[in-house]
Amino acid sequence: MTHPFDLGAGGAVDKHQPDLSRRLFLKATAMTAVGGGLMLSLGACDLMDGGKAPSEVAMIPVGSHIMIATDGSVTLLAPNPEIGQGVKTSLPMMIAEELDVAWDQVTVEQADLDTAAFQFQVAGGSLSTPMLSLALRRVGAAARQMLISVAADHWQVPASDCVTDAGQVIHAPTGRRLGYGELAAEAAKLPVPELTEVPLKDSQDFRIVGKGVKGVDNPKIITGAPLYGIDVSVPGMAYAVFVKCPTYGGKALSANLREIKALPGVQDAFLVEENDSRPSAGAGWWLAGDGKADPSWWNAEGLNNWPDMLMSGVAIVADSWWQTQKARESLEVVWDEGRAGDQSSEGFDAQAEAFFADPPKEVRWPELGDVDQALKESSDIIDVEYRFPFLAHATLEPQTATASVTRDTDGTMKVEVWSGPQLPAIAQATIANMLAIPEEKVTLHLTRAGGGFGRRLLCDSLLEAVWISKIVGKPIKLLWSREDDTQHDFYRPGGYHRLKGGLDRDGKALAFDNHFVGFGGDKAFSNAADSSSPGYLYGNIPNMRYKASKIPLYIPTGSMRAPMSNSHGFVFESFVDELAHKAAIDPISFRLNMIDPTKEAPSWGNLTDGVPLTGFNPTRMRAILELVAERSGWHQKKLYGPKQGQTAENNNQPRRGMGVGCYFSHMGYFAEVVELTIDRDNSVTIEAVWVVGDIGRQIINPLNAENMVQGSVIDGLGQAMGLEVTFEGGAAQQSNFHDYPLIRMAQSPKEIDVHFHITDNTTTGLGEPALPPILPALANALYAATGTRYRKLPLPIVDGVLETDGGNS
Amino acid sequence: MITVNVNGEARKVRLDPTTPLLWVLRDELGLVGTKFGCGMAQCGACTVHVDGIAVRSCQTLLEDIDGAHVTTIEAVGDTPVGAAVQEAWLDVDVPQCGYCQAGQIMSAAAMLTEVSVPTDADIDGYMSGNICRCGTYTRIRKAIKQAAHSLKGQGDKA
Repeated sequence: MTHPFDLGAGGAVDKHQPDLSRRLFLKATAMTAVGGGLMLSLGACDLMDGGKAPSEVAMIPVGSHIMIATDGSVTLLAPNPEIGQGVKTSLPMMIAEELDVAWDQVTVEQADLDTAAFQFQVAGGSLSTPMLSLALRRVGAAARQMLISVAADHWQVPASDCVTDAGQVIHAPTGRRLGYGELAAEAAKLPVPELTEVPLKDSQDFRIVGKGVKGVDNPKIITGAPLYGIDVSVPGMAYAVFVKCPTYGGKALSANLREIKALPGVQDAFLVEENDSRPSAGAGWWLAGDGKADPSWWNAEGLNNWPDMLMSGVAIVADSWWQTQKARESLEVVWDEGRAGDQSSEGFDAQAEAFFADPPKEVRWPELGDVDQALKESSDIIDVEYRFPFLAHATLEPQTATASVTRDTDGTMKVEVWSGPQLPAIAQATIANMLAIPEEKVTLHLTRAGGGFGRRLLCDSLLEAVWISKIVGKPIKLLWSREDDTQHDFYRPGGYHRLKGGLDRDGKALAFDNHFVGFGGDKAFSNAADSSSPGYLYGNIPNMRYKASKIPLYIPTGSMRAPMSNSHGFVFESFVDELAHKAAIDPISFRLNMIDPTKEAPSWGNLTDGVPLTGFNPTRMRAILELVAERSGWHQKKLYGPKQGQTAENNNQPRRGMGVGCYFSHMGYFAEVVELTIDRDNSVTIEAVWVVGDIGRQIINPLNAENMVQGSVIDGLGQAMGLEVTFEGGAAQQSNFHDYPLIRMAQSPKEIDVHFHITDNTTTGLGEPALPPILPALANALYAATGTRYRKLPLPIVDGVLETDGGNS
Repeated sequence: MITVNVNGEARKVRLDPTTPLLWVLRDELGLVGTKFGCGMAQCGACTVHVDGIAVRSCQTLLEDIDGAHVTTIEAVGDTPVGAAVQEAWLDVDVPQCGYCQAGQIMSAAAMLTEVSVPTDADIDGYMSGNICRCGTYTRIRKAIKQAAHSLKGQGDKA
């Protein structure tokens, strides 16, 4: 399966996905306001607001996303899952803009999953913005047009004589006004205009989009109001934990269930068998088809790509979650560990070395020129090995879901689920398959998620909650412990590169030879374990060979923020840096020399209406490299190269260094510079970070955009400075934050300068592309400060102290 | 039966005395603002005040708080320090996913009752127990300084 999220680095995308604008239609119903205050969506927010009284004012739906009250207040439904990427604010902003209401007239509510009403309810791939910007603007504009036509009809004037302003329709020649609240009931009866024909605002007239808007949930977040999956409470609910084998894929054979059931508060304890109900592919990769997936694809050679299924384990159900945890301490399970039991990090490293001893077999990217000949002709050669570890997603809110399986009035089974999955349509289909019920019987309320980062692409915790609810016959709140979360991840995969590079006498890169050792089987790489394209290296170095080998892996891997780019970016951008220093040319100038402005990769179709899938554009990358050089004082400070003979011992001054990284991923371009100092005691201070990004012509919410870049930078720095997951006996050796130390306040840079370079290109997403460059920027700055090249992640900086001066190749 | 004083209210609970305060608050008393992240006092998402001191409620047992006053995120805004912190958090648009922020606010409020004008080193130290997976640290730092400044202004006027 082509990876849906690797768009920017030249990866393939499913070219058969439907054009959204044809499917996203406005469903104006004939429903008029019902007296007495009818709230139209009984979503999770209603349940958890502690019985908020329904609005006294009737809300009228004008399409799927918009409800207008008779007093003119507007409720917008935020369609996509909110995992911290800010779409609960930014997507409604676009509707409100074209609807032409003032933001302070707007209340935002989270939409539930509704595959008929909402398209592309996904959190992933940095895709909400490019997939939905135009469609949601059209939704707002269409409703505005319907409201205008009601007013025009009322006044018996041409609609073209009417304008709108902050929720009112105005007859321009006479100044007469009618508020949207007065018009909504009639507007709701009208047929929907052709969405592709509704006029949209000129961006110069934007009053909401492009202005900083604060997060709509902030007032609830800062006062502890219920918002997250973990906060859900359903009457009659019991609590559950689901214990799985530490070795991935292990099966529970027996357990001391009778003893557990006798413990305080425990209502039930039982074994659960593995259940694979993964749906077949749908019309788009985020949708499910009818029926179940062909297991031979998912389980090629015993590898379990995309483990979106109920695993074997032991469920403990109790009156409170704490009691399930206490009971768990006494649980004894006999496991059949299965084939992952032989897998270990030590074994992987040994297999990688064995592969490097032989020529690689599999071609990853088509060869260019004659690498061996070019290496012979090179005046300078580098021959180096890089590696990066497995990582855990570590969302701060552990995996959790609440489910209630009941019987409908006709006796058939139905289920209501509250959780925050990133692919809710897939979750719905998988649950339906598992219970052998139609999808319409699966109601999925989307709760705000305490972080996604790709972990919540899987619906495994939802399946567990549903299954347990079905067995015990009551609502179940399932919560994973931190240990569960760390040890039952689908990990960002590790990998190894053996790279050779050759330079000519003028310092121009002539040759690039890469043997990448990743994880997978004969037919395919493990999920998200493939390598990115080498980006601008490809085509700008005339002789290139890029081959791969694969280590068999029976532990699940998967997408984590900027899949593949988040690791290979470090490798390629460090490698370019090594070439630059070998050529004795500063690393930004070296990149500018390499990136040929005439070599623009061709467009390769459309993501959706109005969003071309453009290949790598060298002009955009060159522009941000020049800008980041300027903003960081790169050429003035001259901190990009190690001073001759400088070590901690012979120099009283702190060592200083600046490093750069640039990357194109998820259709966005980012160039980043890190400046750091290292004291005599080896403590490392990241003095400043400069980020320049190009994500197109319109930053939707500048406040959130800057926040997202800061977060991406800190995320990447944290990964680089201390995170790795290692395996022994097919089980992760890390379990909690004491041995998987997420970055803290003291290690974060105090200043992160963020600048968006606006270009006349379609606006693309921001969840991911700012992350890949920061890791090599840090490693390159470390080289500049110390003269030691670090080729392995994590870098040996622990609690802000550089552990060794000896390099870690 | 144990009586706990939470947010100014005496609440009676019949629970194992070794139940962590976090789960008493969340599952028994329905105060879900205090969050669970790790269960071993590594992440700080469970931070509450016990007699004004910031503690990790996942490692504080019910029997330990007998007779003490517990303040959670739901009520910290009733104090001038808590209110100032919350206002700064809104003004600076601190949250990303928001899950850690209740704990961050509780730690920040506790710090500001001890250190009225915190330095960067103070902030690094006092906030070292609160993890933010989304990386909002730069804004947390800015909001703390803003709250401190605002409180100083209020103090000057008083």
